[in-house]
Amino acid sequence: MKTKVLMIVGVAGGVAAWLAATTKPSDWRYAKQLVTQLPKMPFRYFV
Amino acid sequence: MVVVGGGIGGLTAAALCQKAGMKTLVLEQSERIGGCCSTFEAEGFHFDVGASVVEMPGAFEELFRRLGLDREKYIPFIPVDPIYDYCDNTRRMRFSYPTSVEGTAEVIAQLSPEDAKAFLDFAKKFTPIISGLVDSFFYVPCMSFLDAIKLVIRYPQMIKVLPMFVTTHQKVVAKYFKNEDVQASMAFQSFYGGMPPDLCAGLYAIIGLLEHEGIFYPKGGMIQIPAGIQRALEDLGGETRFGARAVRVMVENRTAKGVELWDGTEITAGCVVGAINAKKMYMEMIGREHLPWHVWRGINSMVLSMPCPMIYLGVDYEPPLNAHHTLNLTSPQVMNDYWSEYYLRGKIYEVNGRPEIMGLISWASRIDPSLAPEGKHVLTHMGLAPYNLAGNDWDRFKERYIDDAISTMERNIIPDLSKHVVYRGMATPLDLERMLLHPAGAVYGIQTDISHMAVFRPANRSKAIKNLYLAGASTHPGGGIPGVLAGGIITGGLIQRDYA
Repeated sequence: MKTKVLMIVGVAGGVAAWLAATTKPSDWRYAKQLVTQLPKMPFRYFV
Repeated sequence: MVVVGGGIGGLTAAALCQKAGMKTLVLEQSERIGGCCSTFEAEGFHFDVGASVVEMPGAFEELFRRLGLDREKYIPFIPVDPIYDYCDNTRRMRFSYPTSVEGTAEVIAQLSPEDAKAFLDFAKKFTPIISGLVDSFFYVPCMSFLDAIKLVIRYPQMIKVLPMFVTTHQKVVAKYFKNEDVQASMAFQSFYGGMPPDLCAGLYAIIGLLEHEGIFYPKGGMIQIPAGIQRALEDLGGETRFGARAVRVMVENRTAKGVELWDGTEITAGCVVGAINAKKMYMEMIGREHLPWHVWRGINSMVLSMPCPMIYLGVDYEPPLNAHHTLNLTSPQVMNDYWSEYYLRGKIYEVNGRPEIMGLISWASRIDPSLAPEGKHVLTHMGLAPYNLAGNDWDRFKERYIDDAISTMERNIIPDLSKHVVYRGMATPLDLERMLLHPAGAVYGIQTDISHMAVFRPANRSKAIKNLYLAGASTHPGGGIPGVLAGGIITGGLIQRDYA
């Protein structure tokens, strides 16, 4: 269980770091939009 | 099988099921077929309600191939060329893109030789990908992650397109094109997804290329598309009932049993197709009591596409336009600012305190003179404006909006237009909601950004209610005529498979 959590945190951290490194200020609006929609997407999957 | 909604999606699903031997009934709440893709008559002029042209005609060939009928016999198309005319009178700038890729590159070369080469490279890279995408993605259900994996396995080239989902339309355009006018001409298509270029997924940048496969207009107006599919349905033995507004889907134990009409009539059916906005279907016609909480939360979280107010003008002369579609050349930055500073705040766009009504002008009687009395023409203006106006409402604002739009067109594209207008009318977002039952006038259904695409879009076969299927702009693959037609093909195919 601990290994799984560490893996998820690692992957999420990696993605976040990649996004932060590659996103220019002009892209922040798009990134912000994606981030705000992200928590809603699991629910949309069941519609 | 009963279909709620006589638009292209519902009719397509119904025709395919009728062909497969099911008894189908299409219920249309109004007296006119087609919803947004329709045509109405006023004082001798015939105006298209919303949709103004057909892209990706292959979707129609696919439908009629499956029906075993001749498309040309049911829906005759007239080729439209050029695709768009771009105009900026303040700089005396005007250019048109023809359907041919090479011809378009020649036009772009006048603006920027470097961008002309980039356009040819863009076309060379993405044309084969588009063909593959259409075959593998467009007519195939994408309701689960397994479906998505199968799509990638069937068409591995799709991996090349995946980065375009995490970048923006504006970035893709800027990567290929450096000239600002060329960028402007390639960026506005993001609004077909309901968003400005810097918020729309990069995949939408290929729409500009799709149009070079040819665009068409149905002889007799856009209503000929749903009317042609309706004729096909009826020739196969199906039925369409007008003035039949369904108000409720009858559900028992999370299974659709039929629909109830506004007058209390109950129609039982083994299968119900909701070919209306998915939010309206789930939240109003089915209701919270029949949906698991997480499904309710999912549908409630979905964002509607932006409304498109329509202006209808009859003019007493041949307008000085060069193409079926004309646009005022607008930079991507202005489009983005319009969205954040005006649209989201419920305001109409202004420049130096003067309203500037941006939109797409369609001149249908150029292609089909039968749409207007002799010597006269029809023009429609599709705008982008908020449903909720700050400090105003559409019923009060309507006439002023038409005046402002005509003034904008006079300044930017058609001088002296106001002197030639002999008929004027409008469908505001509120009117579109009342007439077509699109919540908030959202003619493109649910927004089409990455968070509402494929597996995250309302599924063609309901995941929450058994025997319920969805068609139309709200479901996969999305809005616009080719998308809705493809969605109807997918839904029809699923029903055929489930009830075979």
